[in-house]
Amino acid sequence: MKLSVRILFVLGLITFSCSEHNTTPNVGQLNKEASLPANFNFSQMGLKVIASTINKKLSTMSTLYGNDAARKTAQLGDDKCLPGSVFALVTWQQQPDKRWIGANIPGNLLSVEMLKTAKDQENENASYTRFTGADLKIDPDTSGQSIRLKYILGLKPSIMF
Amino acid sequence: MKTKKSIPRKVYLLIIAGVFIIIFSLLQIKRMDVVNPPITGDLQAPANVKAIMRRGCYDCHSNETNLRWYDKIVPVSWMVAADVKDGRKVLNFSEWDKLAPAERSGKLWEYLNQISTGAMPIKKYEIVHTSAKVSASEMAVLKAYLISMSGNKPLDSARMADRNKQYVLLDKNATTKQAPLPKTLNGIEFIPDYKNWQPISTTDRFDNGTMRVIFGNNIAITAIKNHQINPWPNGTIFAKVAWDQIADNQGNITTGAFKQIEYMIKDDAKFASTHGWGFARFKTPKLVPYGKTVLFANECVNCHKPVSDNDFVFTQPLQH
Repeated sequence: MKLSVRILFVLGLITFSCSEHNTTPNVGQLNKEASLPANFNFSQMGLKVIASTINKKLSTMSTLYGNDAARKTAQLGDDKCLPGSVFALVTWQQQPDKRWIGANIPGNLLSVEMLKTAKDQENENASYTRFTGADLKIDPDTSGQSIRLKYILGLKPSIMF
Repeated sequence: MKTKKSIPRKVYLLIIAGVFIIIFSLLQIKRMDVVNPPITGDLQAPANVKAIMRRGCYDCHSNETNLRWYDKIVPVSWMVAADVKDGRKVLNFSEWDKLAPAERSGKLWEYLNQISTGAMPIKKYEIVHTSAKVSASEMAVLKAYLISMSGNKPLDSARMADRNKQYVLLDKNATTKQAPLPKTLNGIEFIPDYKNWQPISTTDRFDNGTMRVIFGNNIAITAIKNHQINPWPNGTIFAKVAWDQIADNQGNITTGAFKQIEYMIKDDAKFASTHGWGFARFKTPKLVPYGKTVLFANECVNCHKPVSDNDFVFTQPLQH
């Protein structure tokens, strides 16, 4: 009896050690540090992806979102903004992808820049607001806004078929 | 009173042992020897990198298989022969010349990832052949080598020309009106509506000079909201678009030409043979379905194996 128990134990040990045993980093987890705070209600804005960019110097990555008017504005490619355009540029610090050596993914959320034009006006009166940090607080520093406005309107749409 | 004299237990045991030895010996005739086909073009790499690969990988992933005596005993030899056959099919350093340059680098990164997650070398092999184990410092050597091989050059004129050609195509709207829609051999149709889905992550793939946006359909987005992503519910669809990276002199990278779109569709019943996921890839603006036979999906599964405990999904989704 004792012998058979021992044999079973050894066999079990072998089977256990033979099984492919690996654990995915952050298995089953969301990317929390890159997520937008729920109270910002970003998904309710109904914006779609327009473009994706990376800044190697700052190790950041951004996604430009927009409504239909904004998408059209980006496609037209001049810096005239169609009335009723809504753009949002979301920027993250990059972090190495723990699941794929050779990739970076969004890390800490850095900012959301919102650009809106009135329903009946072109970009002369585009409003620009910058929200920063994990909790997306309004950035009181309004310097350099026109540069950012120009940069966002100058981004070419990513090609999707 | 006994009529028959009972045979002693020892004799029984001897007979059983004898039968085993005879069967075991007979089996050895059915030994399947691993033959080494000619080397058509061996991978070229620095000596220190090559040494790690030779020791850890060449027994199964080259035509220079070097078997130990214990690998040649039936039934172990059968397992070994099957492993070598499978190994060479997926990755063969002795026939490196048969791969296009981009494929070579892609294979090497995949291989590095398989080692780092412990999917390779396969455990039953590693237990016997302890020398196959790749240490952390050796991993660093492999990684540094691969990073030195990749790299974006700023203002890549070929990539910029590719992008401009596609902008013209887009303007003509030439490819969006394909009817019928292209379809892979496992029956998955191209889904044009992915552009209107929410993104769940982006990746900067500096290993192959591409960048990606991963979109999720409504079922995927709801699953994320409810934190039910391991396993993902049936009906989940991911769409991953890949573009060239185009860098300027300041390190700003924008998307270049559209390379491909890939889908993962969750359907436990329909795609039971590929762990509940239907895999599909459509390449170039022409959206050419990937895969020469229906078995192409095994390639997808193989690469996703390191994340098998995460429902075969690499992407760690973020919430909007």
